[in-house]
Amino acid sequence: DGHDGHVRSVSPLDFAFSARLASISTRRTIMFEKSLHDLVRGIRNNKQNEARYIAGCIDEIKNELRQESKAIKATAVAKLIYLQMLGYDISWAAFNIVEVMSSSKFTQKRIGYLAATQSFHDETDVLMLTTNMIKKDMSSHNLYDAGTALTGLSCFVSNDLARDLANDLMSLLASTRPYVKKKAILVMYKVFLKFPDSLRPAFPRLKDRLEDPDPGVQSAAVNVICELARKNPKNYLALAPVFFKLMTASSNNWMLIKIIKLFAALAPLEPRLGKKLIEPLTNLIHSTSAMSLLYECVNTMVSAVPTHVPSMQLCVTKLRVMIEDPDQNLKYLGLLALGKILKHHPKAVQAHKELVMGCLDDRDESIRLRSLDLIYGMVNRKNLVEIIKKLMLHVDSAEGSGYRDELVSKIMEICCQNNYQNVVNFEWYISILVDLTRVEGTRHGKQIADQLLDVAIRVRAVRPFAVKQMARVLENMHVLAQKTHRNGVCEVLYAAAWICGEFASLLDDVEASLKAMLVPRVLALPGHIQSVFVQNGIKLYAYYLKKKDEEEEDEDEEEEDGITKLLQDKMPLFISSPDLEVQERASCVLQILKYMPKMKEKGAELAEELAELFEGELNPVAPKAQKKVPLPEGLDLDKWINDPPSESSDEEEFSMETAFLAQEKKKPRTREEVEEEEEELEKKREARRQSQLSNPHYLQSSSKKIKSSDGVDRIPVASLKLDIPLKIETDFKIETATSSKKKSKKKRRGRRGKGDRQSSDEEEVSRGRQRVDITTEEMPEGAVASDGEGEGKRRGVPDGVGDPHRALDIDLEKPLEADEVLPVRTHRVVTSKTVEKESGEKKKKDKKKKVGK
Amino acid sequence: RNENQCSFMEYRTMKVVYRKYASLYFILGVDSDENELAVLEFIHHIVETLDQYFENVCELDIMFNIDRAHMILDETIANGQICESNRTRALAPIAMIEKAATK
Repeated sequence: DGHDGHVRSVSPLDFAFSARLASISTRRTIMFEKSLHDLVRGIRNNKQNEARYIAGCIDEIKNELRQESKAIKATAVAKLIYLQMLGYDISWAAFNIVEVMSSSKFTQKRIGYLAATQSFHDETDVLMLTTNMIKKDMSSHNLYDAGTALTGLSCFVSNDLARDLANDLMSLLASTRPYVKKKAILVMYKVFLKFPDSLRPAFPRLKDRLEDPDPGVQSAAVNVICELARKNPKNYLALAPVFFKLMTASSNNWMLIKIIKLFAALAPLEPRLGKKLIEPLTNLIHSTSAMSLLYECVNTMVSAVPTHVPSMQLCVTKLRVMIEDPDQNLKYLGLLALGKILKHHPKAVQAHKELVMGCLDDRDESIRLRSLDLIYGMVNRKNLVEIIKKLMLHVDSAEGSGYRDELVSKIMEICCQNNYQNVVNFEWYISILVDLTRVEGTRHGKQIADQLLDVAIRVRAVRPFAVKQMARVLENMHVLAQKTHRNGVCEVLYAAAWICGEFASLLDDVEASLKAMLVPRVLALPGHIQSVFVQNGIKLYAYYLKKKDEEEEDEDEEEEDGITKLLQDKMPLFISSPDLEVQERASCVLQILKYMPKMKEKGAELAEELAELFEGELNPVAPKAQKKVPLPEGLDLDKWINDPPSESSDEEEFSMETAFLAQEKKKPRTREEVEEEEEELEKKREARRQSQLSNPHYLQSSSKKIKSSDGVDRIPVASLKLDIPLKIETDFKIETATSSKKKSKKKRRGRRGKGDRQSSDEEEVSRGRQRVDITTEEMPEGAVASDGEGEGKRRGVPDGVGDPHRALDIDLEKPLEADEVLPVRTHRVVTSKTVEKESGEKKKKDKKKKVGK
Repeated sequence: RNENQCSFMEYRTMKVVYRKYASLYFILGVDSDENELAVLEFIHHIVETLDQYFENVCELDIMFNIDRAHMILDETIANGQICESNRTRALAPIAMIEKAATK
């Protein structure tokens, strides 16, 4: 293979043949060389020991790559491409691939580029070597060379490559050959993503291409602009009229789809656009025979003009046709689009309820899921029961736990939406929930548990029923306790135990439930569930004692002792549990239990006091309630409440003490007592402050007022200027008196201060009201529920894509400024002057020097 | 999956669209915004192109000529956008290469 001429010259190169020829004539050391065909055949023949065979092939390939002949290398790379497709990594051959790319024969070059597109990525080092080569190829006279280079480039362009080649690409946009223009335009999109600065200079040229006579070029330009605009629509509003014209004039379906999609993105920003779109879109909908176009039009209409009723009705009719179509794909898409309409026009969709219910029975899982979504929006009080009944049937018959799980969670969502607006009969709902627990292998155990708790707490009327059910669940625990994985059905036990404990007054048989809670099997449950069991065990015990007291039967002393002893026996088991919470609670309980018999001997009656431990109702608190607590007057949260840091450690210890006061004598945090504690805290603070003021060894730091507000001025402001940073021994913070640190300290103090305030406010909250039937979540009085606070961030765009697109959010209207020019790489001319300068300067990036030329 | 199920699936942030031709599955991953029906039509278009080139394309054809298949694909789409919707024009460069190779 002596001729290394241009592509069009005659060269007998089917690379397979040439390889063989080469091997026979010049390389006698290589005995048997495989062509791509051979490789493929070989792999297929060696299905059993494929890995070994391929390893052997890879060795051969490595050998071949060391040869000088380009043809052999090309074959080798071709084989590598195939292997890469099978999943083997070929990045070690990157340099060889570049070599093949640089070959002047088109077929070889093609193979090289193909390999590059398959295997090069941003990190490949050898990409730097390719820059010049690609540049040459792109501007080559040969149409296909250029085409290859461009197509390949779009797959592996990296940031550096983009930067360097942007200028050349832009000049290609003005090339005379439409083939090249087309490809260049499409590569530009990728370049924009990698090198956002190129967008502004290149954009005018791109816009011109929209009016290019060649339809291929035009559609390419449309494609690129559509893609860009979809991510950052507001920058491209000015182009809307151009696109409008194109849309009405064009017949190329692919392009139409793209344009229509673009309008869907633009329309929300520009209300008049929506109105203008109605007519052409309606025409298109009526006239087109392509379902894809129809679907796109419908989609756009839904997002652009959701309020326009006639067009919505049109869409709904068309979608109905789609859903009725036997083709699964159309059904699926019809349901999907109907779901979007649901948000704006629930009534329109309601009319097709029967259809959607029919789809629930479809054999295709995804269709069923979509119809579930629709149903979610279509339930009301009357049909809830029958719909759920149907869904439960599905749950029983559904194969594949993924779908079943989905069903389970959807059922619950449907029922609980809008604060249980649609559930008329809560007892029925509880029994549904209990049925759900019997579903095997569900991952929504926690959700079921939450729902049970929610309903039981909020709906007083249903509590007796709920408690009965839960007692039954406890007894059947052995069934549920088998599945102990996280979030499994065993979570329901959590709810069951808690409900029984809290509403013990409604239990039929307290002892039985208590015994059920202490079964050894409980130890196999996850830690948090065990701790609930322990806690509720003591609750039940307290209630039991109280009940016995009230009944005033003395012969049951034995029974009482029996129960006490049972508890005492079982607690040590819990104490040795690995979970900290369980240990803690169990040891609390054990201590209390130890007192019981002692007290009994002394004749004191403790049942009453024990029961008082659990006095008071716990009400649900709204998730945002904490934020809504209105600040009492005269309170400035950013003020220093106490003198700084060593204070804080004292406080901490103090509060820890109060918490663990419960070890000896479990001090219940009833409302009055909490307030007492607060007062004590205050007193202590005062005392401390006094002592500090008088203590000459204690240093006070200054506090600058951030806000000068009314009222609280408890803090003595004494500004101290210190040069040396101080160190005051604290547990938590090391203090410096330099001003820079003060602010951060202040913040921490502020937060600390807030923490104290909040604990007292919580008590206020629990004093809130509850309504008769369903207790709403509690909010501080007068606060308004707000939705979605702090949920501003849209979660549509995954971050990987989001970042380059966000970088492209550039205003294109502003005229180009002088420095916004694509960087051009030129040789630096070295003169004696520059050499002198250089030696003194630090090295700067090329780009900075070149831009502005 | 069987015939009674639709050809799209959601996978993480993408959609997967597939079409089955005899023993061959053509699977495409697209954005979640993409019009699925258009993608299906596109798959069909590609298959017809391959058919035109290989004459009654079958799986073996593609496997043995993987590079040609890639080339055809490259001519038709670039960077994820449809570049050439006219089959004959897409196949033209390939024909040229063939001619140059076998001469």
